[in-house]
Amino acid sequence: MKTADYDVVIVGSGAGGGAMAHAYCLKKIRVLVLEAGPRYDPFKDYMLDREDWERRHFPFKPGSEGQTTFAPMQELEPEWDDLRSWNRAMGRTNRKNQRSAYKYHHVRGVGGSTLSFTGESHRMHPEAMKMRSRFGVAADWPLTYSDLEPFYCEAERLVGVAGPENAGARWRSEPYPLPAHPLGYASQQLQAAAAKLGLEWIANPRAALSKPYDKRPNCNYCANCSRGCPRTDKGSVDVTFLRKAEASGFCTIESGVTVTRIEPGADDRVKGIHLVDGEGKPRFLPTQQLVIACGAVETPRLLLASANQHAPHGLANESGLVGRNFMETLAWSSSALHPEALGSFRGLPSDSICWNFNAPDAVDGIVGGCRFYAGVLESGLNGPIAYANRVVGGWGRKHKTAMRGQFGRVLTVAAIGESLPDEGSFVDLDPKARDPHGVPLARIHSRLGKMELKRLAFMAKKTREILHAAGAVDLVEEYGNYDSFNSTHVFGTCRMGADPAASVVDDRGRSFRWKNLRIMDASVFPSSGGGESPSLTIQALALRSVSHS
Amino acid sequence: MSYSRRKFCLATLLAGCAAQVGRLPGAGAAGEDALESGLQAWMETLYPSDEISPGAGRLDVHLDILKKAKPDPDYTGLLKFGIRWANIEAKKLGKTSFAALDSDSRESIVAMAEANRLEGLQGYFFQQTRMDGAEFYYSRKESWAGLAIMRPPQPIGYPFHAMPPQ
Repeated sequence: MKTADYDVVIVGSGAGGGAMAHAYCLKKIRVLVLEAGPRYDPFKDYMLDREDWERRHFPFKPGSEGQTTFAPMQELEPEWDDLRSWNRAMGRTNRKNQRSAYKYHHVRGVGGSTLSFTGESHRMHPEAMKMRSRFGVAADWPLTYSDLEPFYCEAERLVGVAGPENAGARWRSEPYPLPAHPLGYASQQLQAAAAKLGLEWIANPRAALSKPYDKRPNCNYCANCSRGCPRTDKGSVDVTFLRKAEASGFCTIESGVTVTRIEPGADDRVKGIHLVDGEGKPRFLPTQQLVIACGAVETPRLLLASANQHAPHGLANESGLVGRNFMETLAWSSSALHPEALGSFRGLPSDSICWNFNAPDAVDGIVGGCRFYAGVLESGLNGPIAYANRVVGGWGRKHKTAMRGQFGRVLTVAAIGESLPDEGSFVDLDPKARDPHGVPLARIHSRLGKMELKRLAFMAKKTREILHAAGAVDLVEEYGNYDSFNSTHVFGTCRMGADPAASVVDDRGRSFRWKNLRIMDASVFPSSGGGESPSLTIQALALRSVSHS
Repeated sequence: MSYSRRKFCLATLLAGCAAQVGRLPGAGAAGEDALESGLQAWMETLYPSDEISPGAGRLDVHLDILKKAKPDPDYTGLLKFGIRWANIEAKKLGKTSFAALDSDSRESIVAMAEANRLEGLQGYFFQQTRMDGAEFYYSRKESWAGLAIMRPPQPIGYPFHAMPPQ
């Protein structure tokens, strides 16, 4: 690694880092991508063809998971007991009266968390980008949907997004590159049920190919996107943006490299990065231009851990907002047995969606929207082990008879909603816990406020209504984030804005003070949106950021 | 419940109940063969063979569980406790061991453990072996007979997912 060989160094190879790399390479700018985790070979590493596929989950390798700690979570109140998680086999999954810190889900690897993502490809709702000026919450985005729209189109073309013709509030200047996937048989029941309630249940835009495209085959509906795609039809960053970046000849990717600290200089420029290379040797790499794209937990961690005499409160933390405004996944799912054998273990996860309540003012008395979707596969109810331990329970002959009668009959309606910033939700450095390189771990503080709980209650009520309308009245499991922190989508900890006193970066991810530093991941989101999955928006922001360079 | 959580709960329970193990009448070192045969019978009771598919004992699921427990002294201790307790209950029914009982008698002992599933080591033994047993049992394609799943998801996938299952 010689700095003279590269114009830009990017730390992190997920949605933001990968899209930045590709965009720079299009301009013939030489890029070095440093990734802490390993490479994955989609043709060898994913185990969906094995007999024990269901036990295997996503194949985490050494170095593909970071560590995080959690501050104590809030007490659970009887008023919200209806939001406690439970399943038929185990009863309540959290038996204490304190919210549990389960997990921050992420993958360290070339492609980042897109390696295990489901691949929903959502644009932000145009009205959800002005939450401060319209509703007095969160912050306004320093750009509009119109500013971002052409880059959404570009990202969708690069990934190969399959989506419906009906764009709804998310107007489009061109159609999706690929036609929408057909709804699975189980999802068709939800569509019919939603129609009875006056709701529109449509195909979900997905980063999964509905036809062969860009030298990748179409999806075969194996129902297991989150276990890794062995066919490369899923549009994870490794087989899309980074494949093209490497093919351009302008991109080098080094995996197994951990950046431990950034060195702020005296001239409002970053001098370089301290890292531990793939052989375990500490090194210093001077950088001309630096992009940090490690996600909304690891990016603030790295910035805060890089404090020195020139940046005493952490790099790029002149506003005091690095790590603040942490927004998390606010989710709920209800699952019930349908009277018919649906074969619901088949198909494309999250193949269909309802946007009726997604606008920020769609629900009376609640600021911030939500979306509902077909959730049985995303919930992991796609194999016999999950049914045995979560739905059927029991043992002996009765258990086996019940398994044969119930397997494939579960229908799940899931929902994800807006997460608003809270004073009690932020990321800081753990005062004690450190990683093997001596760097303090990120510590997540999370608190759900009243508005979040009201939104969760609405989500729970509506999921149950839809299931009931579908004829699935025998509830077997309900899961939500009230009693358990369990997040994949996290945002906000280096928010973008127009005012340096109230934000960390500008609309292109550039630090206001540090002239050669950009941030490009979901940490820059000023608001979370009404449950949209963030990867496509991150990619569009990245493409826009470089296009204006 | 993730295994790390199970591990925590297990360590907590065992630390509190270690004395119980030593005070069990007839408690002595359970030979490995006795543990293996006892656990095989236990798993065959939890997930029995029937006309359609073989049971967990016949598919050697007990060996998977023993292998999983081997590096974990707490888990191995729980398995030894559970089988030792089951053997003691079997003696009350006039047999030398749990494995020597007929299926109805075995089921009555498992039901006793299940009744304690929220407290006590027998209940925890029941819970853990039931959950781990399901994981290993349903990872074997022989167990899928009678279910709507016939093969792993790849390489064929489910091309007819939009239609009712056959």
